[in-house]
Amino acid sequence: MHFTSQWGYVIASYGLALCGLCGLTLQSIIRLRRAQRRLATLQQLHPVSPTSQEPALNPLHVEE
Amino acid sequence: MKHIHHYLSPANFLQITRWATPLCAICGSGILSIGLIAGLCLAPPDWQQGETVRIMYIHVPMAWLASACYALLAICGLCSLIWRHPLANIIAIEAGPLGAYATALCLITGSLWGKPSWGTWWVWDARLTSMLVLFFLYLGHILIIRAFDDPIRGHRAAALLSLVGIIDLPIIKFSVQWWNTLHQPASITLTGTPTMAFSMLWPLLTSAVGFTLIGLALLCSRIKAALLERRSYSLILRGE
Repeated sequence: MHFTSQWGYVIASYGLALCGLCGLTLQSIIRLRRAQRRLATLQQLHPVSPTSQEPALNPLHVEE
Repeated sequence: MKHIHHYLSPANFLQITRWATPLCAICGSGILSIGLIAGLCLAPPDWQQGETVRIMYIHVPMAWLASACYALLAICGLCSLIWRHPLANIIAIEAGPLGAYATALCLITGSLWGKPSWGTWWVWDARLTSMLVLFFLYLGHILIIRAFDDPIRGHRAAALLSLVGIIDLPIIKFSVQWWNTLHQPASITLTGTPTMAFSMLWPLLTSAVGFTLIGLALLCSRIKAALLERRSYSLILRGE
């Protein structure tokens, strides 16, 4: 397999795809961790019973 | 319908994402690695296009993913308008950027493939232009959903845009048949036999499955984060 100029286009495509994928993955992981940490802190500040039917336990309540 | 509503309740959905996200991520990473390595090293070069045909193992899965993601946006838009299901709105918010990424990558890799094959980075060809329209539809969706002070109005406007924009999907699909284009016709169809050698077909399908699974894992993770953020917001409102 000798290197031709065509390989430059191929490597650029693969590089772009993998960099984009890594960026998206990293962003998702950071966002998820931040959301989990914030929720844990807030649950310590405002404890609610797990069996409670309060709207605060419903994550979609704000949207309704 | 009852079962769909059951699985789309936030609590059940969070439970599903707990095992579905790592499963899709692990399987997707493995399958994608095999597909991309096979595409880069094992698949033969094309007799006419040479090594640049290897761009296909990124370009084609991205095109499929971009179309599938927009179909998901339209389904979510329909669910949002008819049943006003809040999870449909969250899925639409989170799927938009993923679809835009897939479309952008499809356009860029297409351009990188076009330069050595056609001698130009871009032509106003029916397939390329309809794909560019899809990218603008994604950008419009991402912007419009956040453009209103009242989120419900934003979701409604975005749902309408996604439903109107769905017309672009058949145009993308059939553009190579309806018009004379530089872009080659589809080598793989649902009904016909693929016109591609098996040595090229299997890495393509493998990388497509890998990208889809990773896309699902990313979507699940983003939806989970959005649900947790909303739960935090509810708790803040409760504490005030």
